Amino acid sequence: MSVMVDDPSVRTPLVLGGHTFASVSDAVCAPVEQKAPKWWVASFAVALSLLALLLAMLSKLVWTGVGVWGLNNPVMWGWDLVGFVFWVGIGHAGTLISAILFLFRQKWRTSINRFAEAMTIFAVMCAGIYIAFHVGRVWVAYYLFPIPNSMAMWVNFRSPLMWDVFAVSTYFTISLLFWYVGLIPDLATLRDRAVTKTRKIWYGIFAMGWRGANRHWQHYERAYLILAALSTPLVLSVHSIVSFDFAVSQLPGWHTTIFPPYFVAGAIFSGFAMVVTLMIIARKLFKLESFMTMHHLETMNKIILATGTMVGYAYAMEFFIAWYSGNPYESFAFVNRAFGPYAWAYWTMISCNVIFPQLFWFKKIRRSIPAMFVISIIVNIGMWFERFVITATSLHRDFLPSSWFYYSPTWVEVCQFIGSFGLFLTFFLLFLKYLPMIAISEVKAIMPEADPHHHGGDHV
Amino acid sequence: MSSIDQPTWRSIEEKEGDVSVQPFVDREFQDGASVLDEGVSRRTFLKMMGASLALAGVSGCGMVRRPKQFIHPYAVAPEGVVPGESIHYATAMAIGHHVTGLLIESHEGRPTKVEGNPLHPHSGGAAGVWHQASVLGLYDPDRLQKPTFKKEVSTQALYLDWLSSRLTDAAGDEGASMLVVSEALASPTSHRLLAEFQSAFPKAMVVMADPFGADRQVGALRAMTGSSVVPMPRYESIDCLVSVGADFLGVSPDALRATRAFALRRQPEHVRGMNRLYVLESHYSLTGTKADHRFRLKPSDLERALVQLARELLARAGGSGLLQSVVGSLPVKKVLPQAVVSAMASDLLSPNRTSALVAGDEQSPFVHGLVYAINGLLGANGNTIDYYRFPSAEFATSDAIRLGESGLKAAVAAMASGVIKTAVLLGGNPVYATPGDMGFAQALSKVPHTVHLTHYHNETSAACGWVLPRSHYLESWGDAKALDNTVSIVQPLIEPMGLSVSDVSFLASLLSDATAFPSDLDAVKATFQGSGSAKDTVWRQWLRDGVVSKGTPTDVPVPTTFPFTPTPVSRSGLEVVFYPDYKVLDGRFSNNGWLQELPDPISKLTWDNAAYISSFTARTLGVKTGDMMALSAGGRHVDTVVMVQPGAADGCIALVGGYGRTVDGRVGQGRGFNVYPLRQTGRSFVSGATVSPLGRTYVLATTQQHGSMEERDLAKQVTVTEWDENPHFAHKKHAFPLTSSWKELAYDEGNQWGLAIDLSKCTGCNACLIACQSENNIPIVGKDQVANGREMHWIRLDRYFVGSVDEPEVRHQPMTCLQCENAPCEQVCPVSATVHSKEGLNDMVYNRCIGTKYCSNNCPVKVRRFNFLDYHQRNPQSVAKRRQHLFDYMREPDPSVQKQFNPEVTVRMRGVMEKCTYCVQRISKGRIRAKNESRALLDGEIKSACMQTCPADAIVFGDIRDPKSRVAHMKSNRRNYAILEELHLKARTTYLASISNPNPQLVKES
Repeated sequence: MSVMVDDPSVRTPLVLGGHTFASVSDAVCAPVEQKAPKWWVASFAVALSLLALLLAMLSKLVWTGVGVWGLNNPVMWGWDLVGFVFWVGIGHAGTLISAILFLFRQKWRTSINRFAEAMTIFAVMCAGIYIAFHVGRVWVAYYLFPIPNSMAMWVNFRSPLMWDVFAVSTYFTISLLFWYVGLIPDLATLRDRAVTKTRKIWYGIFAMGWRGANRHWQHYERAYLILAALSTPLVLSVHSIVSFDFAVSQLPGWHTTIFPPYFVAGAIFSGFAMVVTLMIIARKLFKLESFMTMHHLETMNKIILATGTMVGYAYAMEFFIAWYSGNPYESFAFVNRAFGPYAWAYWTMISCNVIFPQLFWFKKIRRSIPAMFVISIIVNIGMWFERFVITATSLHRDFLPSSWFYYSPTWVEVCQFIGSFGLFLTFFLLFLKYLPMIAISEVKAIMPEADPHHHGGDHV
Repeated sequence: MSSIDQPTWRSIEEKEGDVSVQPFVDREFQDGASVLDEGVSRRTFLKMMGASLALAGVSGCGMVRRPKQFIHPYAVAPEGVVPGESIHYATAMAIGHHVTGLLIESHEGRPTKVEGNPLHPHSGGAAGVWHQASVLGLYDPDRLQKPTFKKEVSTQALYLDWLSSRLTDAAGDEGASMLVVSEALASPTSHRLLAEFQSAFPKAMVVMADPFGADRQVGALRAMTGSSVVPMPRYESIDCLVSVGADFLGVSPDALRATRAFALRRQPEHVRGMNRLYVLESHYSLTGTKADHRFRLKPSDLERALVQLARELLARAGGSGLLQSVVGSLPVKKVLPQAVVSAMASDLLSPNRTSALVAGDEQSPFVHGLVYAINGLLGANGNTIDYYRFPSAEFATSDAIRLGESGLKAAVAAMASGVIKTAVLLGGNPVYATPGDMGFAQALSKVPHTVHLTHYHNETSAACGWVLPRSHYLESWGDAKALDNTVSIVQPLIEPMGLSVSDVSFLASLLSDATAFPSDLDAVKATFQGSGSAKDTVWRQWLRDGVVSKGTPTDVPVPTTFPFTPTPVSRSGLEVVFYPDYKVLDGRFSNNGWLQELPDPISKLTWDNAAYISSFTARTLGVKTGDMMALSAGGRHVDTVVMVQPGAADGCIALVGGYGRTVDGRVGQGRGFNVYPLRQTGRSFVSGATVSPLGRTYVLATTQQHGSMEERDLAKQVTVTEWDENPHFAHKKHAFPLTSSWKELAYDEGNQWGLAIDLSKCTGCNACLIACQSENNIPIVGKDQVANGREMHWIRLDRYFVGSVDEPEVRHQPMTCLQCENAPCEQVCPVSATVHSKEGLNDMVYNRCIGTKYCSNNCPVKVRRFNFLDYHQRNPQSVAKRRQHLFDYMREPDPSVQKQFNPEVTVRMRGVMEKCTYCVQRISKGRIRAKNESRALLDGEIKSACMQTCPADAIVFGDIRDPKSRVAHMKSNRRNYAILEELHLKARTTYLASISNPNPQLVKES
């Protein structure tokens, strides 16, 4: 029952298929309550093996040293920092959907926010793994934290990496809390529907005694609002701080003020693309198309288009300023990106990030599942390459030509990156299986039946 | 009994006889007190004891506890030794005929660092790469430890028995069946012993030769004049110098003396103005990089150019008889433009200017002879070129003692004919390092009894019966006579590390019939008996100074004949020249990891050698850098890898000796390609060579991939005229004022350390690099890691090509941590592992570093080095740890090599960043010494390792707040500039731009 909206006074229905409250609960709880489908088991096996690959690569890294990677002098950050920024960037979509769209009262967020926020948490976990293990001496990584120590030393608060520590840990904590608080009513639903004793106990513990009472709802709404308000600045600040890792240095190609907005736009860009990719698969396999509708996908594609255009603008502006500034090192950095040894990476980035998303101007493509699936993957590839181009090309040719060198990754770095997807997928698949992937209570709240003045609806 | 009758009571109730307190009175221990219960059953007891023992065993297995280490004080302390304080001893190192006086720093009886001896004329306080690296060679675990006979371990006593029977045999025919082949020795005692051996066995053949050395020059001069003399140019006095293939600033072991003297004359501020250097050479050498005019010529053209120059000089100056007759009879072939030749000639003949020519060791006798004659014409002989008696010739009084290649040729002929029954080989590696057409290996196989005295097991010792370990100079008594006849005593710093024998003992054993090796100390003392060494004070003074006597030049010999002709060359094919390597020389240092990893100063190649070809010739041959090719000449071929070298001569291939070892230690084996098979006896270069590509490639590990400065003003150089016109050329005008947004620290108290590097003096010799490696326990990383840009050298020499690919100039720029006051690295380290000291040093705190590597990313000059892996553990000579310690891995450097480590500098583990510290351990040492002596620090008292060893005196360290210090003086020079100044680094290390002095007549040409 999808309706092409030409009349703005008539809003697109957000829940299709004539659902009632009861059928919503049934539909969303079905994946959790039924036996794991074969494809889930197979995917989980694959995810676990990739996770094992990640753990093996990390063990090798810690045992032998950072030298198992391809890093060298001058390129001392490579796939490790690219992976970190990639994963942290992906997380931003979830927080934007959960928090910012909540504050903007965008009702359509309700069927995707839980899914996206879960994606955020797991992506930040992957980012955390990357940032923790890229250091040369992981066993003293706790020096990064301002805790009392025998050296009577504080950390260096002026360093962007230190800001990263605070930003990423704050981001993870707040996202986790926000996600959990939102889960409570749905966990109660699962608890009440639970048949086995184990499920009753575990869902019961985590539901924290939710009874759906008036006061519970009041507390819930307030907590949700506060956490949304806390998370909103994080969407902008966390990736700005991550961009400071580069922008605060004085390396040509890194040292530019456009980085904070450019990175934030890029993060939202890649995050939404990842949400679209995962959502297309999940909605089909779990038969939740009536909740994650074409309208949702189309709206997300519009956001992808908008942020992609911002990113494209940023590329053009960087190039312009590099020329306009007259700084020979800066101009060289950009000419080198486009025409030097890493030109292959640069043009991949440009085509994936600037050219392909522009196809979303066309409604037909915006609403075509195969097209948007392909484009969303291309966007993520392009965004990975953007971080790679920024990191590697700026480092490999900087001020002194005597230091110029080429960097290529080793199999350990590549396998670690593939393995990080294993970590992500393992947790994500567990989430899909054991938790409701759609915010049941929130979806119910935006259905016509929730309106007390709805004709034909229950009202209490 | 009533408690009332008791004398003591505990409470009023008791005293009053209250019955209720009776139970308390009676009981000794009240309620609540612990009560011994039943006791432990036997079973429980055994269980507990067993468990305790097991747990004790767990902690005792060493997995979790740190290993126990003991500090032992001296039971009987040597006089004057304070543990922790180092002592310097003077000695001398001879490399072939070249001797350099050294001061060796010794910690608790272990030599750890080599410095120059300021009192020795061939050092002047400086030490070169071979001298600095020699200390590692002392502790090399691959050195032979025990005598072997036919590959089985034996004893010195058995060897001496064997020797005794050989000498008895030889006595029968006056030694006709005996042959002694020695590497070039500079020791008067060794010469004396060889001479005595010769007189004891008049028919024995004694040969002394090195693959590369002064023999060819001395031989040519002897053929011309009848005297064995060697020229020692006084570079500090020569105004106009032409180098004919002479790399006197580079690969020559005489380079220390030459560099110091040349740098003195090169100073742009010299009262007589700068000197001028013309270089004619076939491949790019370090000397070529300092040239004002450089002409690249293949060797046959080099000879023709020299004839052109001689002609021109004669035309202008009028002839000396010999030169006129020689040059007049030679065919004319113009290889240099006439304008160039006449400009050079008029420059050389300018009045009130001293001029001279210098010929490279490896040049043909024709070149040597012609250069000698031209120097006579220019008036340089005896004036700016001193001639000294060649020390090795002193004992070569009879014809039976032969020097150089001709001696080897005679030895091979003798061995091949079967006459020789006993061959005694002292040092060297003649099976490996002799020209391919000589057939040394086949000839040696015909000799039934052989002995080789050698440091390492090598190709020659593999072909000998007896192999005796040879003592390193740091563990032997000996003496050394330099080419300028300066005599020094070589005193040991440590007892021999294995059962090794010194050269002198070995030679002495040839004369005596003892059951033990004679004392080398006695032999040395015997040499100096006549000169007053009987007096102990005199002997001690010699040992203390490191110099016994200085030499005096001899009279300039008069040429009587000119028995040379230009080297015949074939019409087609390429010419091939052979050079000793800047790092392993002729192969003798190939097992030294520091030297293998040292980048070649021009090509920046490590761990390999390559064939250097000009880009034009490479294109003609259809090869490029990295291609393997087979090079054939004279019926033999070598496989080698191509490296295109900007500035190499066309039609010519430059090969570097000392690589391709098949029998060597773990470090040197299998590196590069052996080029000796292509060498031809009696020829200084080979002609008619052909090339065939092998169709495969070879990885070359270079430390610098990019040679162009990309129009960035990094290593500044201008000509003298430009400098006169614009004295402040070195100061850049910035587009914006260099100020900070916040208040900067003033650094106006106490000592403030700074460094200045004079690029005009620096020749790029890399001595500073090895000195730094030696002083700071810097590991080697191996070829694969260098290929991935992970070499650990704290100081590097950036080498930039400027100009065209065919005829570029080369600029050197030593680069260390600039110790910026506004250090970008300090801002970004999250854990404050790099901080700034009050004295202006950027301190690196290893134990705080977690290895995020952000500091390196933010460093604009990329001088920070990260320990990607545990390089000390991955060293090819590392051993398994005796006691395993969890998390500290399984391997450690060889215990012998660990003795070389400087105890004042931390050895870094993996995962931490390191960089130049301005030798902060030396600064601390100096400061402590001054404080103990209650005085201020003197300028020049603290020398960083790089400064101390620099032969050109280009690096100066000191207190920049002291206006009288040398470094402050240098920084106030107009040529002083800071690199990347626009980044407002406020670097403490600045550079003095180099000035060149081209001939104004030629400036329009080139």
